Amino acid sequence: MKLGGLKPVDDRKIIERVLNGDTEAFNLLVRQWEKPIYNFIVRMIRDRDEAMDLCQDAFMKAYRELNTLKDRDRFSSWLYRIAHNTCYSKLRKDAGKTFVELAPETRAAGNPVESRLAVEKALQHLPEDQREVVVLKVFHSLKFDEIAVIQAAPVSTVKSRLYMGFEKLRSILGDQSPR
Amino acid sequence: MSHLGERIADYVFEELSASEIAEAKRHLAQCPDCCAQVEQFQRTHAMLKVLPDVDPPRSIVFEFEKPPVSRLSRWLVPAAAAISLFIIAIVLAGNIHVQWRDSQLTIAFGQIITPAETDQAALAMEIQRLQGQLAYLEDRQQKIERDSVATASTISLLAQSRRPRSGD
Repeated sequence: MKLGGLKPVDDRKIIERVLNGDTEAFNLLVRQWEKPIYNFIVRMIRDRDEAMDLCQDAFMKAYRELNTLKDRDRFSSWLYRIAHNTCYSKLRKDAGKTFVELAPETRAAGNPVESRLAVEKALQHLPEDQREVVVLKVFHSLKFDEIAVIQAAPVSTVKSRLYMGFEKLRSILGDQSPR
Repeated sequence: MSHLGERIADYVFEELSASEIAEAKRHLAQCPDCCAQVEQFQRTHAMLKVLPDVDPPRSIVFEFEKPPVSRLSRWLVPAAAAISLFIIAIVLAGNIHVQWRDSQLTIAFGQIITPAETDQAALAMEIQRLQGQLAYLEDRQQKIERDSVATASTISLLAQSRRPRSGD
């Protein structure tokens, strides 16, 4: 998945417009990034309604703190960092709750829908930090150094989390190619 | 080249430089273990990619009433307006006079006195001073006259007391 589709120079121009008073231009950034950010959050917390609320919260925070963005060419990483913080606040809040969950649908089935469901559930069985690296790398094509900034961790740690996450996913889904 | 090890992810996700990729490919051509690990990694990657992106259930649209302002600006305009109204009110009440003359802005508190009025006021004060002095001098003159009369009477009495009586 491409990162929103806008080049950094386009993000930069829109950000400058917003900071110069054209606040309506912020909706251009929202329109461009709401789908990637929503998909990131929903893959982290799985609840689609909750993910929508968190997505909106993330953009509200981005608008309020836009003037603190140091490198306007790295708006996407900065926005993912905000979404990361928003997700983790929710995940920490839910840490004490007990969820009744069925056993994961192991072994990717032949049916594409079942395969997708199996992958969704398998992702939820990863620890949050591994899940996040897998999601950002596989589905959002972020670079390791960008993910390292988002997770506030060294690049080597990020790579370790990816390897461990992939290993666990293989054990859940089976080492099979998709049909 | 040594085994790829942790560089497998860099290789699969194309985060190696062109020269590093070329070197990795040369190694993979000769190392079945690394080749197997890379293929396993790529299969897991492909398994995950079946999960498509979904559209958000609704669109996010922000409605703005005014542009973002700094905390200082938020207070600055109302404060400036309040101060301006205060000054206007006092000016209208007549206690402050604002005057632009000879390229100078003058703000005066209390009653305005023009240069002509200033001269007249000075003259009036001088007249009052002189009148006061005159009154003092008149008073002294009267006192001196009283004293002179008294002295003359005394002299006359003394003279009469020393005149010889007739028939002696």
